Amino acid sequence: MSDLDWKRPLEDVLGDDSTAREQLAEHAQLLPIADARTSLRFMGARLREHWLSTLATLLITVAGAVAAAILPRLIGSAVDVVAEDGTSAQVWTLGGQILAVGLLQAVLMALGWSMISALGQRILAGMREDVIDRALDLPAQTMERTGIGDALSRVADDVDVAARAVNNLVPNLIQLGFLVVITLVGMATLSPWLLLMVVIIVPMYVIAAVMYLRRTAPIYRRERIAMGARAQGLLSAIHGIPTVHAYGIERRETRHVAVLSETASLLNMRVMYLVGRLVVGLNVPENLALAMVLLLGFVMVQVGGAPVGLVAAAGVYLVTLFWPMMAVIFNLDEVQSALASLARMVGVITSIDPAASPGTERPADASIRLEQVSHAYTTDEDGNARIILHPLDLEIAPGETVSLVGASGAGKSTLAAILAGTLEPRHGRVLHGGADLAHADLEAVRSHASIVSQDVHVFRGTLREDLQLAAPRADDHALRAALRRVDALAWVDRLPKGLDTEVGEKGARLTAEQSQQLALARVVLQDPSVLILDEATADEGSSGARVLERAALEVARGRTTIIVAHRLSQAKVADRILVMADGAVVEQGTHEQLVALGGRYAQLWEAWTG
Amino acid sequence: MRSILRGHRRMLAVVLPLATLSEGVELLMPIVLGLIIDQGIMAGDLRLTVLGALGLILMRIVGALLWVFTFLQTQKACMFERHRLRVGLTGAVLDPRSRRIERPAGEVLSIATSDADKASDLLDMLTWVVPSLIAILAAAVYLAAADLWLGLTMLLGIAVMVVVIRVITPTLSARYDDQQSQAAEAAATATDLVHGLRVLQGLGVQSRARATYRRRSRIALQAALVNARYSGISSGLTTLVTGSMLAAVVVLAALRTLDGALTLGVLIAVVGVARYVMGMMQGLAGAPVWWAGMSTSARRVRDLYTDLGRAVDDPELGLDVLTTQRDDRGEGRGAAQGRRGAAGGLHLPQLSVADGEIVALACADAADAEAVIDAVSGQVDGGARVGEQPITPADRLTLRSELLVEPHVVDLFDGTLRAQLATRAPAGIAQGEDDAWADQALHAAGADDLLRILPEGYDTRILDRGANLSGGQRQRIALARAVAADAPVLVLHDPTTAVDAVTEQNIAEALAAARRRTDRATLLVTRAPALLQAADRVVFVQAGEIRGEGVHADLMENEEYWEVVRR
Repeated sequence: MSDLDWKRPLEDVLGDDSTAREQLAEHAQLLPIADARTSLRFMGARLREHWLSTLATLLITVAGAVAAAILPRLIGSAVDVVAEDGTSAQVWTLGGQILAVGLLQAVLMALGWSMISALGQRILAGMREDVIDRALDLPAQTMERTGIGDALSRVADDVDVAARAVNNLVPNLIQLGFLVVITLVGMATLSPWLLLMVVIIVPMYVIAAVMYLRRTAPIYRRERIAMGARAQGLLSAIHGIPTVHAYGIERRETRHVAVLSETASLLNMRVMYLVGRLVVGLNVPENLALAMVLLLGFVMVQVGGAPVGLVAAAGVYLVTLFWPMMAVIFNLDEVQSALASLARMVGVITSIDPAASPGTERPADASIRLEQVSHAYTTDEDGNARIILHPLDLEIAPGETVSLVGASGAGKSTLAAILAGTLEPRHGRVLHGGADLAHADLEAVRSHASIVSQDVHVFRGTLREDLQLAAPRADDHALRAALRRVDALAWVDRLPKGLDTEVGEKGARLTAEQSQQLALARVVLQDPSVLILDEATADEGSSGARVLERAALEVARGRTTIIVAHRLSQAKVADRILVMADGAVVEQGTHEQLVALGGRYAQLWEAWTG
Repeated sequence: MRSILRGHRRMLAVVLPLATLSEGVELLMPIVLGLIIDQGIMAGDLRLTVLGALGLILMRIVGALLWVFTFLQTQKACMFERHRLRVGLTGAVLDPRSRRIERPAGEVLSIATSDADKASDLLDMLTWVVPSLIAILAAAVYLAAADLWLGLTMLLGIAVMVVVIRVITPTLSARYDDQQSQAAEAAATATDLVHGLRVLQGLGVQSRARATYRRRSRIALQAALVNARYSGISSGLTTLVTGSMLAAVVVLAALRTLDGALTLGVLIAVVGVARYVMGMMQGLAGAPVWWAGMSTSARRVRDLYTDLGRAVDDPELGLDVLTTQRDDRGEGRGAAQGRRGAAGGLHLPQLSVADGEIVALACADAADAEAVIDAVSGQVDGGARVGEQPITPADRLTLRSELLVEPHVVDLFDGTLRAQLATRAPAGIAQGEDDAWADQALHAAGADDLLRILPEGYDTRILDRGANLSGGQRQRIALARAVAADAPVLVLHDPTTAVDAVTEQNIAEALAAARRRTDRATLLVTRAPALLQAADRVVFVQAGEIRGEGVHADLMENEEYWEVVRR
């Protein structure tokens, strides 16, 4: 096979790959996207913030364009000098002027380019920081429902697309744009006849550009979705190679990537066909302009007695314009894609409120109280809430250890998240040390309660940087003490560079158990009064699990602790055990009490100990 | 790169001359324009002016058509190459016969996308750079023919431009690389923080994470500002060279015309040609950087193929093969479609699992468990057999219809819940309207509750890697997928580590019930008491040796066994 069928319908390419079809469907984006007006207002506000450099940039750019537009006129004068048999001194003077204007233009262009690019980079840096700001405060539920793919593409891909545009495209286009406008003005001032020509030609360009953009925009959008799906398909197949080989689905996965790759190629080629048409189409106004200049020139010179330099200048003006006009239109698609990224960034910034303190109450102690707390995530077809947690009153004393036991889906993790304050319940009040979370000081609550969840993540950078996320000012002594408490100091010291070892995606690979220990060490450093543990059992088997269990108990000492128990041995040591089923607490008491009760817990315990 | 060129020899043979022709038309334009002004307008010859204008327009139309044709041909070739390289690499990476590589997935992705794209740009570049150079050469010849001094000035201008490009390009690309790597670093930090979002929110340290990112972002900004300065200077420099050159050409040509050596038309033509050449040179200024990036990319693509032990032009990795062939799990060996019969059990040096049996293997050391998994999955030749057929690295592929070794690390691929379960369900069963098979699989994995939780039941889309599920839900879907495959021999490695005690108990009973059939053999590598209890027989291994065998309740008398499985 040495070529593709470029006209093949996309449906045909997708064939029986329903997953690809689903991925390419233009479903609603998960995070908000700003509309054109919001983006425009937003950029206006940002430019006003930098009004001084905006103004300076504008002046320099206009001056540069004026200098560039003077050149054809000087060349026209040179032609006139020759046509009227002037002196060589006049020629030299004009040469000097051309050189001087060229020099001025070069300086202004250099300055203008740097200033536009720098201004853009400054605004962009502010924006990407705002996007991360909002992303970090995105509610956990949103992320759970949608996965983090969309958030990731906003903070990485969109920023990248915008930055590339600011690097090259934006300064280039702004300079060209001004050049075109000033040149047109220059032409119109040469002769009113030429003004007529400008009036005829310019609308043709605008129409061509608008038509082109209107047709390509949806194609580009679909191509981008296809490219995203293609990357995702490839990544997930590589990550899942063991599974791919075990199930023998390597061809299926390769074909999936191939289908998406071919879709993207065909879409891209459609744009290229449109480019071809555009070039042929633009040939019409260009040729018209050429003919008009020549014929008008003939009339002006032969009838009106105008100097021939005028015609030469007009000709040079015209030829100078073909190229930038084409460049502007050619680059419009990149502008489009940059604008799309901008809208996605602005959407996050303007429609997600930065986390703010709902009030000023601060927790007085490490107690927790729930008053009639209930929760539901979604509603079913009849509009009834799918209840995850039935109304619940609960009182936990400072320093008490409570453990939650129950089957998957019983509501343990939901209750844990509500207790930690990371999930806001639909109904009821949550009080930490007397402070209602709905009216509490945000940072005070954040440092008051921590939750260690099943997701272990080791941040990129050195081990020290990872730990210092929890305590930026902690010195090596404090860091080592924290590691010792979770039994991790031994292996950390065995690492080639100790605390300075690179970890995370690019650095040393830590085992699941080590990553969990690191998570616990962060808690020691953060030193919250309330700790919620919702971790999975270690993969390494029971010896590793026991190390972790010990570490967790050690970290929990002196804190109010809620443990989501995956293993009954974790539950056994708690002061109180809550047995949950179907979103409600069905039994509660100490281990001994519950075993004696002979209820659900007692059955579990019997099965567990075998 | 050679491979890229080879595939498109014919295209290049057609496109290159045509592209040169279209450049030539562009070059001719100012010359003809000068001629018309001189002979038509100045001389007052209306007929010549009109004819000249028409000729010029005709020329431009031909030029544009030529350009469009060559452009589309080039783009097609380029995009085909990109697609071919990308799919070929994907096939090579996923092919179980390729050598295993230790590169991060992100790197492979970037080679298969951005490097494959860049390497294919070779075709695009050739059809642009070669005609441009020829056109510039022709322009220099034209100027020299008009006047030797003009020609020399032109050459001098080109030489200065080349020097400027050679001098500034390396500095410039260094700043640019710096900016890109700092930006990439900031983006990686952002990605990393979002990946760790739950951890950050759990600890309540969002404001510190914010400060970390801000620091990175500011460093990236500094690099970008430096780069902005340098690219400004570079654009100024090229403008300066162009301007000076233009001034020199205008002065020289004007003086010559005053002397009577040139006509007015030639003067206009000369100035036009000079502008055209300088414009070309400015465009070509980017070519060396482009070329460097391209060869680096091509090298990276080639190196990946080499690491995989494959070749770019391997016919098995051709587009026609990869896009049409279906997966081969050894089903072609005469066996009928649909449910497969007994395979003769699973045999290892240390234990055997007969048809109809569920055996659990409890290893005190994780390494022993790993070794068994490696042996049965054919990563190493560990003397394992399915029935009479040995499982070796060479033979393992043909055994996939009989044997399924579910990896411990769960990987789910984008698709509906039904599609997840149907990954390897026997043909004919998963296609019907009836979801009974799926219900059974979910029940065996203790995952009945998922149908209640997921909004659209079996049609709910499970995101890539189960991103919209909890760890326990992911693990149970993977288990259900393995059960639905209904493999004659099934090996599960710690299948319940992410679920709680209650669910584990449910799974143990339901799983055993689903697999307890006369023609099915099941091996559970686990230390979970619930699973051990459900097995027909438990083999206990410590330090690589069998220390006990029997039912779980009896083995509990063994002090060491009790210590290992105790919770």
